[in-house]
Amino acid sequence: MSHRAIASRTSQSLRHFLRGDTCPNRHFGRRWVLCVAGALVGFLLANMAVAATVLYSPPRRVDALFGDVFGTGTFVRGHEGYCVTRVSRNGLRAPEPAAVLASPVRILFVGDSYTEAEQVMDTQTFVLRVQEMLRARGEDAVCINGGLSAMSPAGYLYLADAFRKTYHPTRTVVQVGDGDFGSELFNRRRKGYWVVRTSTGLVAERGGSDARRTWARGLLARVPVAQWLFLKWQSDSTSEDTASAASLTVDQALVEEIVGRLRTAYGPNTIVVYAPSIDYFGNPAQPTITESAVHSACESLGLTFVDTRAAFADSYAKTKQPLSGFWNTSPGKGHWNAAGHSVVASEVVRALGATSTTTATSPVGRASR
Amino acid sequence: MSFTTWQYLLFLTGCLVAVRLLGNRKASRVFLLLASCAFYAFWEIRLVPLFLAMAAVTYFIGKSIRQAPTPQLRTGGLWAGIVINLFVLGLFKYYSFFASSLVSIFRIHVETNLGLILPIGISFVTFEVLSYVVDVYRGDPEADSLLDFTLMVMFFPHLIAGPILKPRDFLTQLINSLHVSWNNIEEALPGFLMGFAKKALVADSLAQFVDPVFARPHFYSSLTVWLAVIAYALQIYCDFSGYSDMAIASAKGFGLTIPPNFNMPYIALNVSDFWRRWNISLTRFLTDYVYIPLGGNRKGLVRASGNTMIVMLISGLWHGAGWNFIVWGGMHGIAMVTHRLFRAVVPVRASGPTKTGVFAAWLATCIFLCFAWVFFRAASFSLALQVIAKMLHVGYTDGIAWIPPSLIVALAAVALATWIGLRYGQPQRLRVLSFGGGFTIVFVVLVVLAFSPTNASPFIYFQF
Repeated sequence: MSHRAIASRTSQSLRHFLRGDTCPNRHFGRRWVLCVAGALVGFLLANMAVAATVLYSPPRRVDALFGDVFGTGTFVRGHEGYCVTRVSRNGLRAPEPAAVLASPVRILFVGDSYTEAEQVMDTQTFVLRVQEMLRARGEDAVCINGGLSAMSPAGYLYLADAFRKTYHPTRTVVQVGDGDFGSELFNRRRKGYWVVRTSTGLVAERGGSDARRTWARGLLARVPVAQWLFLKWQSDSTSEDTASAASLTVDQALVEEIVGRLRTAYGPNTIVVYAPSIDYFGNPAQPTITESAVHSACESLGLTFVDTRAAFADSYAKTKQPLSGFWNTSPGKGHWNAAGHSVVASEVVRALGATSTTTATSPVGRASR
Repeated sequence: MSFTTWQYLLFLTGCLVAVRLLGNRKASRVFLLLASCAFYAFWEIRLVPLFLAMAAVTYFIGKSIRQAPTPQLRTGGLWAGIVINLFVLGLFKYYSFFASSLVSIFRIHVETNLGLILPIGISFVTFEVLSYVVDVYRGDPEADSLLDFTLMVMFFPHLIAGPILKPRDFLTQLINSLHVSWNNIEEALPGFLMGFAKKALVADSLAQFVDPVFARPHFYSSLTVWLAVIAYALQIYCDFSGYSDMAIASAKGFGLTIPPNFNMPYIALNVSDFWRRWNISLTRFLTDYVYIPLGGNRKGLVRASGNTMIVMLISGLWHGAGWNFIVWGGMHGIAMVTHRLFRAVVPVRASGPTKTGVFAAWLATCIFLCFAWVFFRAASFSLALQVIAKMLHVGYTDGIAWIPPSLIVALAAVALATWIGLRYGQPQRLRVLSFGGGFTIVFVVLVVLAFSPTNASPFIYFQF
């Protein structure tokens, strides 16, 4: 067969295909229009299904103080647990600053995804549970959820000023975990915040926002299906990073230095809450190397260390229900569930009870007065 | 190259376009054979020659049977075909199992690991070539050419996990019906989308629940273990029937008809009924080539019961080289024999069964199937016993309570699909150039991509 014959046959076949074997030519255009209309309706419905059940978030924006954060609006997450919440004007899962400042006791909770707690509803987060417990015992306290997913101590150090200017906290609780003290802290490519070593010690830095990237993410946020597929595609590389971070050995000196800087930034009466990695199918009571290192650093620096591991292990022994993991993922793995937040809240309230929430002041608090 | 990947979609599209351009000619069949070899080579290129050799040897044995001058030579050809192909299957799939069983029972020294790779799909291919040899011996015409026969064996939509084809029917189609048209594609689309959704959306989601529970059953509550067993029953159905749907649809795109392999198996009212609805091509093979030659039910109740047990034990062993599978097959055999004996004592009423009776039969069948699936799924016999103990509340029954939403959604979806299937039958065609066509394709694809888990599980039947 000559090239010309092949080309002719190909184009003939293509025309035949596109028109359909039984489709009369005069209906050809109308059928395509109907097909495209159906596709559009299918696309819209699929987006609505994803937005209602798995993922919906306002487009991200760059805040002068808090950097790259979600815009104000309703926020839905359903791929691990389920939550519907509202993002405040400064991109946090917290009340608006004006409402916070009316209260005499303002407790700031700084942390990563364990504190932000996208997996549970507002009233189930340990931050709001602490507020409820304090109010139940007569303290007019407001708890501010300053958790931001994928954050690290580098971010907590960098944002200390932003928190102080926005909320004027009287007390701060910093939540840390296993992945927070490895070499990833120095990684300029990940998480948006990192630390660098200078002649005066460790200094936290923030990456500049890429306008083009922000624009692209804004566009993605308007198409939940696309945003969700993008996140799924990204999750593989993230889990590899996490796995490599967890296998790192811990530098005790670095841990002490970071905890010391947190103490300087948030005050000597800062409470450190540790989010333990618990192996419910092995030995739940066995602490990790990082956990022991942070505990020892807090002790040497005189900070209150809230060790939730023992409470988690006790609760599991009694109820046989893990305090992390969800019905739509796998119990025992991942973030804290509602029961886990409840246990953490009790432990935090116990630690707060040891020192009065109203009288203690921190450099952050002092600076605000 | 799994059917649920974009690589397969590209591969299939390329093949359809090529066959469309080549037309119904020998060149199309040559192209499809090469494409099928490439498809298998995606998994393991070293094993492609093995399958080609099995096809070639079987083809020439078929030819020799047909041309044999005496009945003795014909019979000799038949046994040669059976022994050679079963030897290959035994060597690759069962040697290690039988050798290690001998070692543990008789305490003798035998090399248990020959270092052979288990060729994916070898059980399906072996049964197909065996059925060809037997059919030719029984008088069916042999394949016209080695090309046609090899293509039938290697044809990529059914190569890995069936359905097991009836050689005579499919060879005729390869010659007469191989043709790509818009109509064929529209007829193939509903099955392909349905299979894609069953596998990626339902089976893979349920695997996220089933795998951890079956790995550590003692950590979970009795209710959760029960739910995991039910979830596995749904998972394996959606996994295997999803694969079959996509295989049948892929072949339909080329104008080739592969008979359905499933017919709503979980509405079965007894285990025999279940096997008429589950992996129909395997049931047909075992009936035609094992049960009936053994005497079927023509030689009395006892002999029929024995034949049933033999067939079900073979079925169990065919599924996997392990005692779990033999127990699973044995359980099905015992259930079928029990049902046969029950029917011999209590015949069906002339006025038909009552609604209560139908419901009780359905429930009893479902519960039995769940218990049997435990042995099919558990990684070891001891784990299977742990699952059974949890289900029966024997010993320590406390544990993690986990009721996954994916199971609730899957149960509802399968029940709805079954009801629609019973009420309206299977969809015959999806007109792409219509509102419904555009909507269905976009909506189903996006929903499946969005709601399916990130880490997809391989098709369960690939291991057989």
